[in-house]
Amino acid sequence: MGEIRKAGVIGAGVMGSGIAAHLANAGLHVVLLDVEAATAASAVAKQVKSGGFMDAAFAERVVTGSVSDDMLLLSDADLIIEAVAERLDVKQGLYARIESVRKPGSIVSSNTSTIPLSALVDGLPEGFAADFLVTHFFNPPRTMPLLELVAGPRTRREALETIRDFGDRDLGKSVVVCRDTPGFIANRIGNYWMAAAVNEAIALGLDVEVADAAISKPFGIPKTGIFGLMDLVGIDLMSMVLRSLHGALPPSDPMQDYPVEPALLARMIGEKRLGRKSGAGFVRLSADRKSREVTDLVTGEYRPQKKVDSDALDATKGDARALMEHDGAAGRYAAAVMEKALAYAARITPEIADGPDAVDTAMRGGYGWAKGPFELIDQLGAGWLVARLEKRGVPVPDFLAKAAAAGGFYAIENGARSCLLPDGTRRKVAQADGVITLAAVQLASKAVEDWGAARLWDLGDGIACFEIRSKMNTFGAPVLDALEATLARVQQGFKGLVIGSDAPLFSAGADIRVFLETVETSGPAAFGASIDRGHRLFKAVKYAPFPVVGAAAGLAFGGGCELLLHCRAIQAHAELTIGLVEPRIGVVPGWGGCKEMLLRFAEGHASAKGPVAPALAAFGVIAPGKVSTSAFEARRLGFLRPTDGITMNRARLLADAKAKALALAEGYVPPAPPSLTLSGPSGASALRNVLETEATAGRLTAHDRVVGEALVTVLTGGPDADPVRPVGEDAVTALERAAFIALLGEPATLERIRHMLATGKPLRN
Amino acid sequence: MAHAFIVDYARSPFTPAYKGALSGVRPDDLAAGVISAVVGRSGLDPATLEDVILGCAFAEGEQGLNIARCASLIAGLPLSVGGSTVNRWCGSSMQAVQMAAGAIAMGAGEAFIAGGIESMTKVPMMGFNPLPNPRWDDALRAAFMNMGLTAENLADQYGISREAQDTYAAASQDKAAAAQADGRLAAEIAPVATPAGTVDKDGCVRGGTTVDKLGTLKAVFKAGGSVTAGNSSPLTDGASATLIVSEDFARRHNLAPLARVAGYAVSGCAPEIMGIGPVEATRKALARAGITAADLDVIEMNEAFAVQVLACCRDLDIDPARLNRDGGAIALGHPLGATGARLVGKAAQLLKRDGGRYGLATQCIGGGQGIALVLEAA
Repeated sequence: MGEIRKAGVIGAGVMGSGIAAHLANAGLHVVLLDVEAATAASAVAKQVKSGGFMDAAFAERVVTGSVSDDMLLLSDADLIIEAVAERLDVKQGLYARIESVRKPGSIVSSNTSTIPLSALVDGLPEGFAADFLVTHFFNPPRTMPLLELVAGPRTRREALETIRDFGDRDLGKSVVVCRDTPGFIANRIGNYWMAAAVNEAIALGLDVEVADAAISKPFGIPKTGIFGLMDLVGIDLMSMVLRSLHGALPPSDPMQDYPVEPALLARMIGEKRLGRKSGAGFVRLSADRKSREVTDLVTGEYRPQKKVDSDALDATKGDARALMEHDGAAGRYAAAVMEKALAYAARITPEIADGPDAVDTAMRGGYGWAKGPFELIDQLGAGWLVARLEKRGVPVPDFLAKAAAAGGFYAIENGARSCLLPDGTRRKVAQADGVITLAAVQLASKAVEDWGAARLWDLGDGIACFEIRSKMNTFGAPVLDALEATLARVQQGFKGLVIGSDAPLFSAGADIRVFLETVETSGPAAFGASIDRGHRLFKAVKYAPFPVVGAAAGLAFGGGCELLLHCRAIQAHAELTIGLVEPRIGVVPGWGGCKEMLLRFAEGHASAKGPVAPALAAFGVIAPGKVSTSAFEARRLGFLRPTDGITMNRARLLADAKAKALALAEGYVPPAPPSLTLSGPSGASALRNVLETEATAGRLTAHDRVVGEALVTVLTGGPDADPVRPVGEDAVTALERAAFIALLGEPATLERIRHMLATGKPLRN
Repeated sequence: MAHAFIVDYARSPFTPAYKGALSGVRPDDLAAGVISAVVGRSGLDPATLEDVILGCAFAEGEQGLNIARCASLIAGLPLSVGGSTVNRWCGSSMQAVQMAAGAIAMGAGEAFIAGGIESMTKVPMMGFNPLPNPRWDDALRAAFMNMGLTAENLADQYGISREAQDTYAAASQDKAAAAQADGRLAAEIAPVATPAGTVDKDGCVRGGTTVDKLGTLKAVFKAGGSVTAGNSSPLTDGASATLIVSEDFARRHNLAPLARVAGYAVSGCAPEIMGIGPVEATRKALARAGITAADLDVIEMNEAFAVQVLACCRDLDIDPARLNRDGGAIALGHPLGATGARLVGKAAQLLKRDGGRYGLATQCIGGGQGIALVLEAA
């Protein structure tokens, strides 16, 4: 399979520049061209601002230029992605120019969402068609997981496999190979669903607020619902895409049942109410920008936003089937939209995909649905849906009828998920090679141990996996008990341990409710035992006779971050939000986080700069509670070591973490306890200067200073520390303990904790 | 006592720290470049030089190892030429000029390179490893380490408004942008070759800056304060060098000096208003030169902060028309160790270019000092 190291993107619109940014995230050198070089350059700057890059420095990996002057920059590109206007003549003209500069064997793709591949390569030379495919990204390319691929009959198999593998491993995408049909998979179903949802809401004269609420949470669909999504995507763009689909689909396709531009949408487009990009769509900010106004679907005029008012939603409490059976307006609406949309998916799947699993993956990854349409049908009941459709007079698709007879689309067979195919046969649900999920492990095996709050799994090859299962994966006593038992259990029969799971987050840290309860019932000093336990346990993780690898994904805050810092290695998903956020609730990291950050900075480049440099660096990260927006940034902030791994595809995280554990397990020697050079009172003076500078500038609250002062003492070793007399790590954890308990005795800290528990937001007191 | 003459002056382009075109250049290489430029265009046999004296405020890391000696060797000067790094923080390279002139006066050499260097990219302000005395109270430590706060103190003491500061800053930007556009800065800039191409322009200048635009910036050092990133000098990378010789040496080697060093002084002041340092230093230097401020035709005063220049000008009764004609540090940048020699060299060049008899170069220094040097056209 070919390797993709350098890529070109032509077209620096939102999609093209977003794709270029994400290619840079994957470590590629990227050339981004537009008609004007300045357009490309400013598009890169916009991507930096809007977060298209996982680290702002990655923008340097993108070289910009113009199509007229700089096509030669593409001559050594392994992949050239065209993302220009959806016009066949423009695209084909560009392909001729690409063909004249590209290197042999390079792959060319289009990010088209509406033009069939067959039309794009029609009349083009064999050599070009062999290297050509469609790579359809979703917006924004960094975060939307779906990548649809379409290969034509002339496309080289190897080109498709190269891009499939590249999209999966390097770009981290859920890659779905689609057939060359209009709208491919996600937009075909998604647009039908949106057309149904908009038109049915207008027909019922529903409130936008009610429509969005009805069509989102009960079905595991993002809370933007339908009108929020229209505003996000752009009302004119939706209309354009639908028009293109109408033109491409036969008259019998149910998509044609809905007008491209209902009168209300035509009016809004005419009034430039296009959505967020024009500052007004179905929702806009009021003139004083203090409240929101919403388009009334009957009058088309704006009115103040209302609270969702729906008996159906109140009565059914998020139960999708109950809602669809409710005879209130929201219930009738949800039923009309979802029954039709699910029927549509079942009707067209034989034509657009090789199985229901591909469709479900596409809708999860491209539209953010928690469950794809077939998973939703299984949840509702295929037989139930058939009955509903019959009652509504909607023809029951053959595929759905088969599923109803079979008891659903999905089943568990021999410890693995299988799915029903349109021809009535079954096959295993497709999963890329080398992916490990605990969901799949659970189907095939029993947990090694199950403590309720946590479980231990056997990942094979001697590697165990510790899965936290508490709310937000927080650390209460049951999780700590389980971790302690795990450390003992892994020594019997395993070579290494991974800490991680399929969950969207690693851990939100300690259960701060316990802080409050302990202080209120027994006083701050009583919390010492919990601190000691965390220190002891995390040290046991660090010095375990086997390697412990933290599989970090989603969010790792406070104690969750501290556990990762004690792991021998971290394998992180690229989208990692990690931070020692303890100061936000008025304490300092108390489970070894201060110590581990000092050690990380002392190991790294900061150590060369003298005794206070690691403390200054750690203070700069911990005092403001800095949080990474990606794993790459986490590396720059010092949470990840240069040797820690980053996995682009979330689905591959556990497998990569297991591989890391296996690699470390060979002849494993636990780390030797370190000694720390603490900078003492002179270093404290330097840190205090930072604190005072921030305070004078008005960036600190009164309690920020108190917490900062405590952190200064921990990081510099207190009044007796002396840089010429290194100490062991327990000296720092003892200071953490003292500072933590002292801060728990501060009323302002307790206010912060109470406020966080009540609102989920930090209190600035 | 022998008189000392400024024969020539060159500097690197001054570019923003971290993001600028010189941020990747090692400071010893940057300093070597300006030394080579000045020595090269003098036509002198470099073996006639006595010493290379370079100012550097934070002489550690890549600026360590006695960077003056390192830069001298990198520049290819003969082994016989000395090298000494001096530190008077922001006043370091003016101090280097004073030391060269002083050595000439006492007969301890005839020809010197005096200049300075600071890569604020490579070594952060306050250095990598600040360890202030823990017995200092917060106020004294802040006065020593938080320069912006000292500027705020001065704004309070002198009642200088935000608008006055922004107006001054915008004018400095205008003057520098005009000088850059007219090619008036080219005479002092020695281009620097980098892997990304030759750098021959200052990178900090922001032409088209308006008072309105500056008015939108937030005060960065003090809540509710008036000192912003727009009316302060930016963190900068740059190097400067002057060639300083005795009168006799100039004659023997057919050198055409720009100016004579006519007086100099340093003075201390309260650290918390360090920006007022130039006032006392200037008064002393003028007295030693036997002139008054009214006699000055050219004034180069460092613009660490707009407020500090305004306060000093008020106390010294300085004519704004004679001040920083091609813009100052707010626009050009302030690479700490390199600024002093720039001010001296620039004043000497302006005396030659624009005419006039007396020139002044002066600046404030963190920790509470001022330094000043009076020039007389040669």
